[in-house]
Amino acid sequence: MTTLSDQSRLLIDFNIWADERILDAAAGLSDEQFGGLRGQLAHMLGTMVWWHGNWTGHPLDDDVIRSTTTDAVTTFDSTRAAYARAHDDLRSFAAALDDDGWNRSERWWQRWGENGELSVGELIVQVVNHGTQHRSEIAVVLSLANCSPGDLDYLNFRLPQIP
Amino acid sequence: MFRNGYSYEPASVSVTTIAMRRFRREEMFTEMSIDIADQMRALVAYNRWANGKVLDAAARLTPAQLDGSGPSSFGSIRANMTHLLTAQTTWLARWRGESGRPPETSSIDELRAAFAIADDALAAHVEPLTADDLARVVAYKNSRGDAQARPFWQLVTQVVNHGTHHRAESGALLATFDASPGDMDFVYFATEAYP
Repeated sequence: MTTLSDQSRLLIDFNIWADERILDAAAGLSDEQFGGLRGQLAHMLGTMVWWHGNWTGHPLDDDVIRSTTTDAVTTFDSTRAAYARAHDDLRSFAAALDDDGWNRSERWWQRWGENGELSVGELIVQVVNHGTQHRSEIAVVLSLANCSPGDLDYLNFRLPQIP
Repeated sequence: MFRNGYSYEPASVSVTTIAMRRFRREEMFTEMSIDIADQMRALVAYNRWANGKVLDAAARLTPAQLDGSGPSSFGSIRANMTHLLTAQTTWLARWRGESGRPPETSSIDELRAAFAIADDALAAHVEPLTADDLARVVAYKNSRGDAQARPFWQLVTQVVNHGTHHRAESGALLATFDASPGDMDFVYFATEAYP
């Protein structure tokens, strides 16, 4: 039987695969073109870093988030390195969780002055779905610059792995 | 009532209802245990909610704006959303062992009605499934006629993720007409759906 752990870890792997496809394509941009994507890339990175900080009991203040995201997304190489760190952190976090861990509730709405909780498993959906939303927007820009990342479907990620 | 406290409350007994069905969590985080079947149901409910947001925003456009070509996979908002509807309908038909395509639509009202049918049908198909059902490998042929086989839960994930991709493109186009659908994050769905 497939467990929530299996599904959630695979979602994270998909997210990393899709981010890397975007970054691979962005490598073909000029510095000026890449500069136009910095805001979106920093926002996506910030989402991963912020949630990871909360899940690991180390919520980040705005200065730390800025230094690890916006300030890190300056050149293509620094962006790629910052994403690699965030991806490693997510993978390590996911590898240590069992099904009870994915079901652990997390308070999150307080940041926006609201009151509510979701489980870690549901919040992983938020992170990955949020990534898909912004990768889609970035892919349009990349395609206009003749640097399409190609298909970013979930099944494209899975296809090479099943004989 | 699902094991984790979600309940699924049809707004109407009709499968053609346009009204959004709502999930709510009745006992928030008391003895909560979400399994993969609950997760898939939540994804499908999110998919319906997000489709509705884009269609609500698109209803504010003129036909020319709806069909105007822009930077997206299929050009216009209507073409993007029609592709999404076709994909969703095709996947469900494969799972049912049928051949099915959505009806042709010529207005935003018809498109909304077609989505309502497709969203209801998808939810109804996923609603009774167990984790074991979702682990079952589904054989199908892709659009190129190639034989494929995937666990069912991966195909549900594909449908929703594919939807997010094209809704994002549609949302960006809608924003250029001052008709943004607003935030479509999963957590905002949760805010509305788990009062």
